[in-house]
Amino acid sequence: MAATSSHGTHCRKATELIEVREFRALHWRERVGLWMHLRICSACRAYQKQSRMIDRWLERRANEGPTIQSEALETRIIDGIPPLS
Amino acid sequence: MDATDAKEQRHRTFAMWVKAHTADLLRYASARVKEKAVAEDLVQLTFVAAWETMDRFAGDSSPRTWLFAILKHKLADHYRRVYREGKPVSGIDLSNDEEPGRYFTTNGHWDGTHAPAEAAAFDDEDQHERLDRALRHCLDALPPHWRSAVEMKYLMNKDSAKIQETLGLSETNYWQQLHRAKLKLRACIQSRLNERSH
Repeated sequence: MAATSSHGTHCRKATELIEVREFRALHWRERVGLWMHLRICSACRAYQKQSRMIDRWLERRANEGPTIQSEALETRIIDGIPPLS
Repeated sequence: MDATDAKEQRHRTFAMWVKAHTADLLRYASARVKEKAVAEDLVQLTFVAAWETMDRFAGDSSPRTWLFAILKHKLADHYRRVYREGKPVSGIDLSNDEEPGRYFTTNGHWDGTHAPAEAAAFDDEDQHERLDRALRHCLDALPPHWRSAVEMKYLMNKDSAKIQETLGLSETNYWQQLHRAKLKLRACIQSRLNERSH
């Protein structure tokens, strides 16, 4: 489970780096530290996998989902604009 | 074409856009905010802005693309407002600082029961629907300003500088915020999935 890396990257740091990596390239020290930590820590490997899955889901949401009833809203919107005359 | 014709034409075009795109815009907004009423308001605001600037819409892009661009602006405004309202005045959010501590021991290792379980595979095909429900539920359960931080990541295509400017916080603080939110989101999903399988 929670494993110790001799190079000092612990689980809290590792999970933070997994998030930071989405925005910037990791410094080589960070990269090596994370890689070594993941090799020995199954909990953080599971975290990385699940975290990626959550990210994919969040990105994909756009085009999925059930049809939404929107007639009432359509009427409200059209009624809200200034009339013709 | 005289002025009345032009006005009529404008109304007709607008009504056509409303009929064609409201459902899709609403679905998009509903997936991204907790309250249905808020999603509807954002779509209505989108169309108000579209009505006001319709004359300037040159048709370089499709109306759909244009409307979605407006909606994304409205969503960004919404997240900024929610984020600023949720953030403590002092700028120091003690509950935030405590959050990672719930999952880790003082020397930074997973605290027993909080360690992610490998068995909790989130990507099983037959789990898809349950997972979808769990994700929606857990996203809605996040403190509103945390959710704003998470949503901004995707709304602004991971443009860190732009997000910081919008939310008014430093790069490091933004990443910490995301880290906390992700820890909470992940833990919530795992416990939801476990709950339902028994």
